[in-house]
Amino acid sequence: MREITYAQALNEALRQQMEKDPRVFLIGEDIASGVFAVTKGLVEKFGKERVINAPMCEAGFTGTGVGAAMVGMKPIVEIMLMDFITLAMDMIANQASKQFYITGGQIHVPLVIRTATGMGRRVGAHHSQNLTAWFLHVPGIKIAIPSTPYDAKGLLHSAVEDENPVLFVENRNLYAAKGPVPEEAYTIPFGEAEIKREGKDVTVVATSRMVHCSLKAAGMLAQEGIDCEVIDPRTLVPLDEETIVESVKKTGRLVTVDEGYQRAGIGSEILAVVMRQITSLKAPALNIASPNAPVPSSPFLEDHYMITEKKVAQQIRGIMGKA
Amino acid sequence: MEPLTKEKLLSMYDALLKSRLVEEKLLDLYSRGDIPGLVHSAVGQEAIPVGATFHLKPGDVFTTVRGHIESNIVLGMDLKRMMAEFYGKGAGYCKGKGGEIHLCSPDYCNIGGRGLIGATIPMAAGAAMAFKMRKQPYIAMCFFGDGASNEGTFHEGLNIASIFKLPAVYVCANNQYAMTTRQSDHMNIRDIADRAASYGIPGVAIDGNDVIAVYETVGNAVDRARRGEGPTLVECKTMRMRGHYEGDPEPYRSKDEVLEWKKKDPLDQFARKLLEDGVLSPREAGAKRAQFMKEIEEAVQFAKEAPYPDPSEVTADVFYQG
Repeated sequence: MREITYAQALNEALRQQMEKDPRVFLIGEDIASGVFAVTKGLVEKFGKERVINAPMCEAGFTGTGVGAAMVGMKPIVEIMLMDFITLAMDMIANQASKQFYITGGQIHVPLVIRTATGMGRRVGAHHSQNLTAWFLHVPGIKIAIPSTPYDAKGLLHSAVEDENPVLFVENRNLYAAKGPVPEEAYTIPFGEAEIKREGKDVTVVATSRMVHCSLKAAGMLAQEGIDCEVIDPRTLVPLDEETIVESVKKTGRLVTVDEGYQRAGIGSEILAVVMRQITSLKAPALNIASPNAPVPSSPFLEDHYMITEKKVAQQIRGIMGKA
Repeated sequence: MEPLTKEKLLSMYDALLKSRLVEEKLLDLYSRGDIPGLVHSAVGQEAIPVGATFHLKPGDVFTTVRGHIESNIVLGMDLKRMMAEFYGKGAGYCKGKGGEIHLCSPDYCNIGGRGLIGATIPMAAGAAMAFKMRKQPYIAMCFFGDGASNEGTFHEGLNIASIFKLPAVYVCANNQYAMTTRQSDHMNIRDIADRAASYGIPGVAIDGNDVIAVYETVGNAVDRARRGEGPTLVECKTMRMRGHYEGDPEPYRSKDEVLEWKKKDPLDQFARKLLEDGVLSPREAGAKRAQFMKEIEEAVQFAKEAPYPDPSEVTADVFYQG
């Protein structure tokens, strides 16, 4: 199969959805120029009526997307970096997510909000955060968080075809990553985790770029006789609890790895899900995430801040009693 | 704009009167502890939604804070189901999940009230953008107040509506109070309509207690929007006659202000005009009142007797399954 990048895979899904469905349109800051190349070439093909460069106003253009979705369009809103999503919280957490419920099922909101996370770029506290966990707390919004070009394309197709609000969390440090991607359109059902690596000693649940980080750590640990099972949930709402819980039942150990802040994070939720269903583990659960501190700008500090395969491997050795 | 025929004037009167009676009924029910939650009374401000909503046609939408009883009455929503919604019953338009604040029925152009002011302003732009993209003749009407015009979304939404020339009409009911804060304490201008200049769109300030002025001014804005010329900001000046919510002790203002505005009551003014012009007779007015009171009583009775939703509704409708 041909290999394309994560950004190209997303671009292809957007193009295919726009070709198929006239209700689909894109709105966001600078998307006609395509800062991250995900929207590259789309304005030329579909025109500025469907690839809409919005003014800098996250609440404004996200709200515009919500309003358009409420009357039957399928807007795809782009929030350039996830840090900026803070400006659109009411539109996402109060309006889009709750509309179907508060209208007693009369009006639904088929809206996709694409946004990018990714640290390590030395750009500090306002251009690096992964705030996905915030949205786990909000009823009424689905969350997809692809780690590979294949998943990026398939999940984006599913997100656009879903009739509910979907938060689609991309990782700009993965945009250039290549992988096999079919040319035709395909969907990946929400709520189906993928076991990226089978193993019998430790279940590692990781998202986005941390999937790759965890796989590398698993490779290092394999040489030391520690056999990790790495699971990528791919969507957090809905969450494939069964795959995760079955794996933990097999391994007896649970590690979560994500780039959000540790406190009340994605990992915290996965730990809770497992604890509700499993009586005991062979070792304390491990919740690897970013420190409860803002992302520093200094390259030196950011390197210390960030999760690496070495750190993941080291912590897993700890719960295996091999530190 | 459709001319104000005798028939139209009378149906406008009907809407004003029925709205007033429903508003008063809600106050009465709330004071007796019948209605749960909050009642945000718009008594004395009915001319704004009534005069504006007369321009909405099937396919158009409006969005608002609080459910806009008046607009729903103009558009013909069933009073029984509206009242059932206020009572939190399963027969309500939103199955009791919306209540007074979120009352919604897209069949009557109403895409839902919001509990956070300002959100509606870009959302209306979004609906208008959809109509424009689909080349439909519809418009989005957005109702909000003086308080909402200070939200960032007011600026963002009007700017978007303006730059994309969207078929939206922004109707600001300036009742001079944002909750407990008077206008002079929350903005340094007198006319909110002046803010339209920042977006290069028309802004008009009018007497919001004059239903004809509202009808005509909003009508021009609607015609402009339908012609594809973009949005308009219409500021309708009025006065909040009750507290922000029922039970608000209102220590922040004098009763004189309210009494002064009582003389400018939109229903009284309009009734006087119709009586003077011979459009309406005192007998007809009395008969209408009796008829509406009966309808409202029936609606209240229906709402009281209607069953509560099934408990399974607590977690139903979080996601659309279709």
